[in-house]
Formats: sequence, structure tokens, C-alpha cells
Amino acid sequence: MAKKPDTTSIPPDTGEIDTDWSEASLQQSAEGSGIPTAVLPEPYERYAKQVTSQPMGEETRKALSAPRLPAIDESVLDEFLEQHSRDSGEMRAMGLVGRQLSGPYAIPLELNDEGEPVRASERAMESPSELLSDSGAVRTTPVPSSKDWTAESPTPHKPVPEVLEAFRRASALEPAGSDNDLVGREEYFELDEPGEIGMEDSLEINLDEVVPLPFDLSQALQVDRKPTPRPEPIDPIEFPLENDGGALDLVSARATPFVPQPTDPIIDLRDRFAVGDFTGAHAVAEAILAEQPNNTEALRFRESCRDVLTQMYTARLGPLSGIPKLAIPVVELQWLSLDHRTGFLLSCVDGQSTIEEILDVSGMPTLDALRILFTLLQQQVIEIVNR
Amino acid sequence: MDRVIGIDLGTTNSCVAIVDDGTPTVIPNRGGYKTTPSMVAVTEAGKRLVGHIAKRQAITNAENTVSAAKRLIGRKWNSSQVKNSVLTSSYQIVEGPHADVRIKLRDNSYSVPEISAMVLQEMRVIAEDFLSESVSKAVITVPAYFNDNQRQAVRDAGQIAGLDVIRIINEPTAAALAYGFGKNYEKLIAVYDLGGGTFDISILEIGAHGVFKVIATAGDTFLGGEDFDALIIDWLVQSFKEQHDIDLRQDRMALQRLKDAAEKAKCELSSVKETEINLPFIISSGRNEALHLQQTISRQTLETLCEDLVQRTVEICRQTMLDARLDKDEIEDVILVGGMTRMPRVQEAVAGFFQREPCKGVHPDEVVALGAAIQGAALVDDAHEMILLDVTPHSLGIMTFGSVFEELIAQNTTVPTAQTKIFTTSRDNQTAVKILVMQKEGQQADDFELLGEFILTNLRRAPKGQVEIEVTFEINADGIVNVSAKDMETGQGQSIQVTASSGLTKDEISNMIESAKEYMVERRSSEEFEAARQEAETLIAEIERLFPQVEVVVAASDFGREAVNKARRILKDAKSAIESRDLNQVKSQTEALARTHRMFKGVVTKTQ
Repeated sequence: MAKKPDTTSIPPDTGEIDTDWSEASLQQSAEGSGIPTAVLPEPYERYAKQVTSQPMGEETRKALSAPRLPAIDESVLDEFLEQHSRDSGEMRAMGLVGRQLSGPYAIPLELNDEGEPVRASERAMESPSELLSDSGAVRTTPVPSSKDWTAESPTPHKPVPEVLEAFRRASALEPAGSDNDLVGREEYFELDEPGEIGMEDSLEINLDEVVPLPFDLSQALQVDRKPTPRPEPIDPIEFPLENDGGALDLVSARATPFVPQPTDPIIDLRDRFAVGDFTGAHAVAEAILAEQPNNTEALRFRESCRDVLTQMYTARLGPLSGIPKLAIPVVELQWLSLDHRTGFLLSCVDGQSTIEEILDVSGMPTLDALRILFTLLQQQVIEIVNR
Repeated sequence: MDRVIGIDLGTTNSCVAIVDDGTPTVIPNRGGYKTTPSMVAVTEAGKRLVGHIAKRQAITNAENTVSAAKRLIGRKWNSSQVKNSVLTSSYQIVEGPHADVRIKLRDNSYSVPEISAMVLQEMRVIAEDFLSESVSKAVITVPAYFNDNQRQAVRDAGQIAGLDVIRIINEPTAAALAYGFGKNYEKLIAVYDLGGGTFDISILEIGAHGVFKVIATAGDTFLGGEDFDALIIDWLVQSFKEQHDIDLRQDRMALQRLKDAAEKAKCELSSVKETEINLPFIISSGRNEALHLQQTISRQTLETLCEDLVQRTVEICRQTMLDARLDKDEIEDVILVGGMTRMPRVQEAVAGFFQREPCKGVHPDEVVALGAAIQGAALVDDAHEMILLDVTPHSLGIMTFGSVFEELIAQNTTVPTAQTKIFTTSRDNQTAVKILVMQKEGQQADDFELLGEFILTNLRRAPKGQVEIEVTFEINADGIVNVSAKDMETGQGQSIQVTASSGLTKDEISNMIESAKEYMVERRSSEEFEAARQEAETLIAEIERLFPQVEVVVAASDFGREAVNKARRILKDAKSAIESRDLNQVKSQTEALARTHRMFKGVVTKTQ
């Protein structure tokens, strides 16, 4: 079961990102030459911590509400990857955290002095194998050597496919439990004290509660990929742009009870009936019929449920010729917690009338009357004797 | 000799009695009650309910529960009584194919005699269960004011119920019969009958040699115990509303409970000074909390509430005495009939009006049925011959020019009787007259019922008022009305016999009889199956209880194991037979079960 995300658990190796993420840098970028602002990639928790730990200033708000970046081609991404692959921990962190993000992801770009995105050629390039070997973690998947990589791709700036794939996955938000990703994550981390860093916590962030970032990575990437189908998130939490007390908002948003994803009631009805939840199926059928009185499938299911439930209650009550009798003194009745329908049915229990007669005189639907009688029997308010 | 049952077919309750070894006895129903509500209902599942069970769901299933069908029996669709009932009844009253009245229950329409037949059939079943023999002959009572059509409708109802109605007698006459049974009274008595739905007052003369003569009768068909209950319900609803600001009338379940409680309280207050009405969980408040009704009502409160109703009955008594030209002193005894006469305030009012204590020697609920049973026994036994002389309960006459009713036979005229009156033409050169035979139904000037019509033709052409026509009304001992008109100059005449009709054709009655028979066959077989099932289930339970002990004892031997397996098979077959609802199978399996049970008991007894 997913735990609630912990804003205090920070993935390792993100120090550099932290330094880059500041209001000053954002301000500087935003006040540049009108070039759309970009923020560096970072794990959600770091991002959230930033957002929640300090009041959002006007400039931040402006920056975050800036128009989205236009689509960028793959070469830009390559450059970005090259740039950040120098820092070994950074991509590893992405590999971990990206898995946990949902919704549009911020495009991770760095700007140069002119306000242009930093190109790969402006940076010293390290081979992906070097990059990955920095971590000291043992990879189980074969990593192509520098030579091999170069051979596969005529462009020296081409990122290693695995890294690209990791990034794609991060943005595509594959369902938890993807083998490759999991293995990769575990390999990339070296935990001195298990639990200290919060890896478990990171893994268990509730995907449904992740704050959407103000940029859509999927648009930015413009890569040909087929994202794994996933359920549509329900009610994503809005970024608290308008509220200075963003932290409070975030906390309260997390405390919001889980709202089950609305499903087609007919499917729900079928499922409940199939698993033998006849009471539930009956209730769903009634709800459907309240809105669509002529829904034949709901009508059919309701009748079937009634038949089954009637048989069940009848079997538990015994023969309909049985005579219900009060098992407690009348004066004690008032101490029970009963509704008026039950009260009415109890008034029909006179120690002479059979169950069948009580069903006849109650004027209630048979199923309701049987259910109430059964409940009364279970509560030992009545007992049933044979004629 | 066939037994004859006496049935008091009441508006709200019915009662059946029989003369057993010379003693008139009321037959209790299965619940032990001596009266059975005259109510019929059809449940959502199409099941027919009659009697107490129908009454208990009367409010929760009001649209499909018929009460007081007696008010409609034998009446035409356009009669004022029917119009009144259409407005006040909770069930649907529709027009039948012969301008008669039909009642709609669920998807079917029933004629009023059919509904009354269901009640009569129930009374017959009660008698048959009690006597353990088939019953086919009956004497049924009707109010003294019933006209021929109404009496015929009751006969038809009896026929549909499979009864041979050997006599229809008036209720006050039946009460007087029971009152005078075994005594050689010769006196003038008043029968004050306040039932569940109607009030009747009759003055009778009990003559020597068992001659009973109704001198006068009157009443109110919408005044009875239910009106008293309604006042108590109003009082309770008002008190609850003041306490909780909730109107209990909005909830049918609550109202049904109130009705039952009100009737119970009313009955209790006849013997105690105050009583508590306790209805837990009567309704749920808006806050999802169940509320209880707890109220104490005193006899004094009830009497204050109902004083107007009591005074209405006294007023009708006063008018009847005036109509009969009798003085209160001339009344030698007052018989109280109907459950409501147990109420001390009613007894007090009656005693106050007649200036004598009412007779306590008869049971108000049972006296009419007992009288009918006595009459039935007398009819099949020559030794107990009695003469019952009845009166015409309504005025009879013809409608003349300008819609003026000309009375020929006055109300309360002893039958047989004949009256003649001369009429003239109302227009010049009038060659034909239309004779409209009418019966005056109530006190209202325009409250008439058309019994028949005919035309007298070939009259001499003459100025108006010159041609004289003699009109004669005759009522024979069987109550058949014959009307004739004769041109006094020529002697030429025309006549009509007013034949009583319930509004049903012979074919319709035949079909209804068949349906009623089928219903009875189904009901009887269902009861038989139920009895067989219970017997089988008792044996199954007993065998299953003994099984472990028997198994331990006999399982060691092959023979024993085989016996145990056989017993298992019998149990299984018996359960299957019960499930399949096959009566013959259940009966044969019950025999096998009984043998197994004997064997098991023997084994267990020997090992102990």
C-alpha cells in the first residue's frame, strides 16, 4: 500500500539542483529577454519542498505562470542530457523520481548567458558508460561501451538509449512495478543506512497526489513514443498559485479522502453480481433505475438480486409458516436503535401471525420485510417458533 | 339433516353461528375471534386476503383493500350512495357493464357481490373448519332498510360463495329472535344497532307464537365505530404534532399503527378509566432519529371527543319514534347490538333516551348471527316454526308531472300489502302515460331510485284531467313488487313486476361461481400441502437429531450402515418432495419418514 508522501524525504544527490532552484535564478531568467523560463529537472519532493517551504513571491508566480515552452526537438534534449549526465547522481535521481511523477513534467533546461538553452556542444561530453559507472552501482543490464555507443550513433551527442528510455519512462509514468526501472533504481542507490534516506518513502509516494508541474514534458520532448496506457488521474491537485500559504494547502490536499474513480454503474453492477455481492448489486441497480427507469439490464439484475436475496433471507428465517415472537419485554424495545419501518414491522409481530402473514400485512416490499425480520432475529429481538 | 349456518354480513365485521344441539353458538375464526372484519384485499403478489389480515394492512395497502362493500351492494352506479362512496373510498370504484358498480383491485375488476362473496366464503370456511364438515345452507342477515335489489345482490353473493341462501332476514329481526329465543315474550322492543360503520334503530313487536313484526326502522349508513376511531386518531395526531411538529398522517405505516392503537384504546376504555397508547418507533424525524408515541387517554377525553356522534344516534332514535307514532314509555326493552354499544357513554345515552336500562342479556357482537342461526334451524326443523313479518323499509310510488313523487306505499308498511291511487292526464289530448316506479331512498326530497317503468297507451283523447288512470302497487309475502296501471274508462291496463336484480347477469354469476370454486380448491390444496409439509419437516428434524446416536450404534455392521444410508436417502427424497411442492410425494415420503423415525427411536431406546 502506498504511504503518504513525505515531503521531508529527499532523494540523494540533488544538491546541485537545489542550488539551481531558487527564486533569484528564476527571477533572473524571467527578467531576461522575454525568453520563456525554464526550470531544472528535479525530483518531485524537492520541488514540492521548495514550493511548500517558503511563501511564493510575485516573481515566482509570474515565472510559473509563464507560457509553456514550445516543442523542442530531440537534439535539445540530447544536449540537456549531456549536460546533466556529468553529474552522475542527477540522472539517477531522475530515474527514481521520474517514475513517481504524474502529469506533465517540467522540461529540464539550463539557459546560457544569452538566455538560450545551453547546447551540448558548449559542454564537455562524457560517454554514458562513464557517466553511469560513476555511481559505483553494479548494473545488471549491459551498458554499451563508449566505442559501441559511438558506433551505434554517428552523432557523438546522441545520449545513451537507456538513459533516454529512462527519461521517457519518467515522463510517461509507467505503472509501478516495471522491472527494468525498479532494478535500475535499486542499483543506482547506495544506502548507508536503509531507511535513512527515505528511498522507501520515495517509492511510495501516492501518485494521485502529485502536484502537476507547470510544464508539459511530453509536449516538450516530441519524441515518438507509445506511453503505457494508464488510468486518467482524478482531480489532480492544483498547484497553489494563488495562495501564499501553499504549504497548508498542500497538506490539506493530501488529507483529502481518497475518492474512488467513478466507474460505469452497469459494470459495477455486473461485477458485484458476479462476485456474489447481491445486496450491493441490488443497491446499484436501484440507483441506476432511479435515473433510468427503463434500463432493462438494471431491471433484470434487480429482479435476480431480489430473488436471490429473498431466498437467502427465507432460508435463514426458516419456513414462512414460522411464528415470530418478541424475545424481549416490550418495555425494552424503546432502548433499541430501530427505525420506524422496523418499528412498524415489530408492531405486526403479535405472537400469532406467521412470517407469511406479516409479509402480507406489512405492505412493504417482501425483500425489505424479510431483511428487517432477519435483522431482528439476529439481534435477538424476536424469535421464531414453529406452529 | 343439513346444517344451516347463520351469517351476519356486517358492514365492518361479520359473524357466523350455528345451532348445535339446540343451543345457538357463535363459531370463532382461526385466530379465536368471534367476528371477522368484512374486508378483502389483494396484495402486490396477487394474493387474496380476507378478514383480520386484510384489516391489518388496510392503510398501508389502502388502494387495494375493500371495506364497507355492503354500502355499495345492489346499488346502481348513478345512485347517491355510490357517488358518495366514489368520493370517500380509498379504493377505486368504477362503473360496470350494466350500470352497476365494480371495484378495481390491482389489475382486476370485481363486482360488489363478488367481494361480499369472498367474505361469505371466509365465513363458510370458518364454519367448515369448526364443524369438520361441508356446509352449504345459510341464512344471511341484511339491514332492514335494504331494498329488493340489495337483497338480491346478497343472495347472489351467497350463491357465488357456494351457499344456498335459504332466507334473507332483517338484522333487527335476527337480534329480536336471539333475544326472545326460548322465552315466550310478547312485547315491543327497540333494537339499537351501532356497528363499525353503520347505525340502525328498529322497533319490533314480538307477538305470541313466535311472530316478529318490524314496526319501524331508520339509520345512518355513515355512522359507526370507525368514526369514533377517527376522532381518537385525530386527537393523537394533533398531540404528536404539538410535541414534535410532525404530521403522522403523512406516513401510512404510522397511520396504520395509529388506527390499530385507537381501536384498541377505545375498546379498553369501555372497561377501564384510562389507558396508555404506546407506539415505539412510530416515525423517523428529519434527523434520522426514530420517535415514539406515548400518550395516555382517559374515558372522559374519549367521551368528550365522541359526544356529537352519540347525540346523532339519539336524534335518529327520536325521529324514528315520532315516525312510528310511539311513545318512549311503550318500549318495553332495548336491545343493544354492535361492538360500539359496549361504550359506557353510548349505554348511558340510550338509557337516557328510552328512560330504561338496556338489556344486558345478549352479546352485542353475536346476537344478529345467533338470530340468523336460530332462523336457519327453524326453517329446516318444522318444530321451531316462526313467522317473521317484515315492513317495507322505503316508500314506494310513482313520479308524476313536474318530477313530483307520489307515494303509494308508505315506509314501514307491513307486507304483504296493496295500495291504489287515481291519477289523471296532465296535457290535453294525451294518449299515453309513462309510469315510473320509484323508491324513496333517504330523507332527501330528490333521493329516489328507479325500480322500473312502463307505458300505458291508447288513452282517450280528452282535455287534461279528464282521463283517469288507476295505479296499484302490490307487495306479496316474498317481497315482490307488482305495479299495474288501468284506464278507468276502457279498463285497458298495463303492469310490471319489479324484479330484483343485483346488476349481474346469469352468465356472470355462473363464471363467478366457477372462479370461486377454483379458488377454494387451490386454497384447500395449499392448506393440505402446508399441513403435510409441517408434518414431514417435524419428522425430518427429529430424525436428524437422532442420526448421530443411531449412526454410532449401528454403523459397525453392514446391515446398520445400509440402514443409515437408506435413512439418508429418505431424508433427501423428503426434502426434494417438499421443495417440489408435490403433495402426493410429500405424503408418501412422510410415511417413509415416520417408519424411519420409529426405527431410529427404537434403536436409541434400546441403547439407553
